Amino acid sequence: MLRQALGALAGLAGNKTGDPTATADLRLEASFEQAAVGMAHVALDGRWLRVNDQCSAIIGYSKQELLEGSFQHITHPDDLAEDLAQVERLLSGEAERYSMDKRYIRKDGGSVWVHLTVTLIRNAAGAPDFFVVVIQDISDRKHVEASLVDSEARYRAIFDSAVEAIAVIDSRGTIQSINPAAQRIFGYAPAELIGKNVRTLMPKRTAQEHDAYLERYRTTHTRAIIGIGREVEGMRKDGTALSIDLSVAEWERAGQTFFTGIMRDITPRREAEAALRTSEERLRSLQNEYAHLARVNEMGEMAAAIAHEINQPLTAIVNNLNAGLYAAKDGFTEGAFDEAQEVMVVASEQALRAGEIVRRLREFVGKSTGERRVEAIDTLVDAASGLALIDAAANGIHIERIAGAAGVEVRVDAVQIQQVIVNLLRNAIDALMIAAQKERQIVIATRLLEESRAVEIRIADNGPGIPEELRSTVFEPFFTSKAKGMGMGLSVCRRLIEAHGGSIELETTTTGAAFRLQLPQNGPSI
Amino acid sequence: MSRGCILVVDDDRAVRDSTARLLHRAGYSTQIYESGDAFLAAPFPSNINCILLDIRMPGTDGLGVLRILEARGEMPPVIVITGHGDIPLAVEAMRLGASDFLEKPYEPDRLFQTIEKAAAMRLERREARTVDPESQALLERLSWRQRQVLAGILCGHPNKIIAFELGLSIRTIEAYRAQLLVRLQLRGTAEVVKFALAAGLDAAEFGQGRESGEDDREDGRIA
Repeated sequence: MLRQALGALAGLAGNKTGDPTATADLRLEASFEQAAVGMAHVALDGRWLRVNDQCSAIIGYSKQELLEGSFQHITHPDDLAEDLAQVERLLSGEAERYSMDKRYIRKDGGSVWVHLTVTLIRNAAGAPDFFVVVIQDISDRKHVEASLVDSEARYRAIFDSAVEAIAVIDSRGTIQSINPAAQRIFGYAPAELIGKNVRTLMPKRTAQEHDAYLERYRTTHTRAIIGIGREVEGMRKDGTALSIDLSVAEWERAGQTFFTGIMRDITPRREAEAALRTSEERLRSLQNEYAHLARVNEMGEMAAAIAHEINQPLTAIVNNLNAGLYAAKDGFTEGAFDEAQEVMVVASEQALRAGEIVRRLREFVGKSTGERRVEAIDTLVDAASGLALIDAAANGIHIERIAGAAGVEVRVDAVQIQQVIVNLLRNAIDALMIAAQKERQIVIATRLLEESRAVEIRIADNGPGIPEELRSTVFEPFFTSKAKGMGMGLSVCRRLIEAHGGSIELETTTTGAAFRLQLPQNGPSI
Repeated sequence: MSRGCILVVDDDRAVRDSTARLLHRAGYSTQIYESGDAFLAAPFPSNINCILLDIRMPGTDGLGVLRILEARGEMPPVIVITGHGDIPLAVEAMRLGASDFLEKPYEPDRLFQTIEKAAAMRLERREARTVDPESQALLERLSWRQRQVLAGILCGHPNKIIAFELGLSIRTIEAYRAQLLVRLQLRGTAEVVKFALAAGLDAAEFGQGRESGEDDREDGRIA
């Protein structure tokens, strides 16, 4: 069509050199028709006077169709009012041109977003003549805008709905934005915090540390807590402290550095942990008390044996001293002096013997500190045996001691380990005394196990043994086969040994009963 | 010239030796044995005043020795030496033929008195185990509750157990015990036990339900 026009014009012009006006007109023509934007002339009443191809392409009607109508008919109803208002402004002389974004309704029914620039052209007399309209298709831009809005809304939703408090600060610590969760966690409305320094959310000590971090970061660009989840102390609006799990990310925009902090309130968790610790401590102290009571109970059950043993030296003391008195009843002869000397020596020895029993008793019954110390295992076993076997000889029980762990040491609470050994030995003695048997024997053996390097203590008796059906239950609390027993012993024993990292087992034996105790040896690996 | 020979049977060396020392000072001669078995194995010396026999010993204990002596038919005066709380053993020993029992540690005077008393009984037959009529009469005059408490003591029970069994408070039991001592003119648990045995009281009576019809003399209002 252009060629035809040009041809026509050239024909009109007639000569080769070309009339300057004609050339100018040709160029104008070309500008109008060839423009990459839509261009149109519109009459004052809105009728399309002239449109270019691009205009037609954008609006979606053929040129012919357009020229038969006016812009009002194909303007999106929502945009029409604004459009007409702007036209009025031009006509009234308020403005020479206007721009706006509007939609045309295309022939196919769809709408298209365009950017319009309308300029009023006046005639020679200065009266409005027609409009020149430049139309740009801004569909793409509108799509982008829409998806940006949508995108923004999504991210906003994430930000607003997050359970954690999310804050953005600049490199000075000024809060740029903060989400509603801050209200729940810190007690501030977000609006109260915008523009304030993030220090507001920290107790004094933490605030100072934070300032230092930021300062260091600004000057050295070393990251201290960026990215890593860290537990920090925060401060609520009401001044109370809370525990925060904090993660920080760094990002840049327009040459500025920002930090995003995500803060999770872990105060409930911390409080639960503290409560648990208190509970555990209480449990431990109760367990120690319980073990102590078990020892006291053990001693109670041994009372008769202990009383009898203490009575022996006391009897000897009384007899001796009285013998001395008798010797001197007729005056202190030389013989009397000798006798007196002898009895005093013996009485004193016997008093110490009694004292030794009392001492061991007190040591055993006393409250253990729970402290663990390094002890030689054989010494420990012997001390416990000394107490437990106090009436063994009197009851005709033969004791065999195999000390096979010379120099081997363990790190233990001596009182508690002795408690276990005493318990096992007392059980053995009780078992042997129930049965009417001639040969009563207890074997106490210690040795070092080759493979595990653990220490083993084995206590065996040749009594009636433990019935098959009861073997699996002997370590349960309140298990007892004694008529007067309370059955606290073995379950406490197991717990005490296991608390030391050891084990206690009942051997499967054909005769008698044998218990194996294992304890880890004290050494560098422990 | 010694006042007589005393045999001392005890597994504790210090006790053995000190007893012998004391007896020597009092003018007795002694023979000491370190166990019931050693004593039984040795030839029996003649003309002994009495035997001091420890009740708790390895091997053949005091009761075992008594049984064997009885089986042998030779029962010299035996004083059984007990520890505190051995009342049931002491009672059993008396039944097996012991003359008396003594709780250690004892005052030397008590020891000598008991020895002399036992030696004096040597000449009498062993029917000393029969009931003493005087003691029996005294027993009859006790109330049912007092008798029960006595039976409990004969069993060797502590006041706590006696109280529980009879459904009374410990203080009530203590009051009954004090009452018994005064009534029977006795000086302590050992004497109470000997009285009860002499009176023919059976320890198994303790805890038995009361027969209807028996009245309760002097019961109640024991503070």
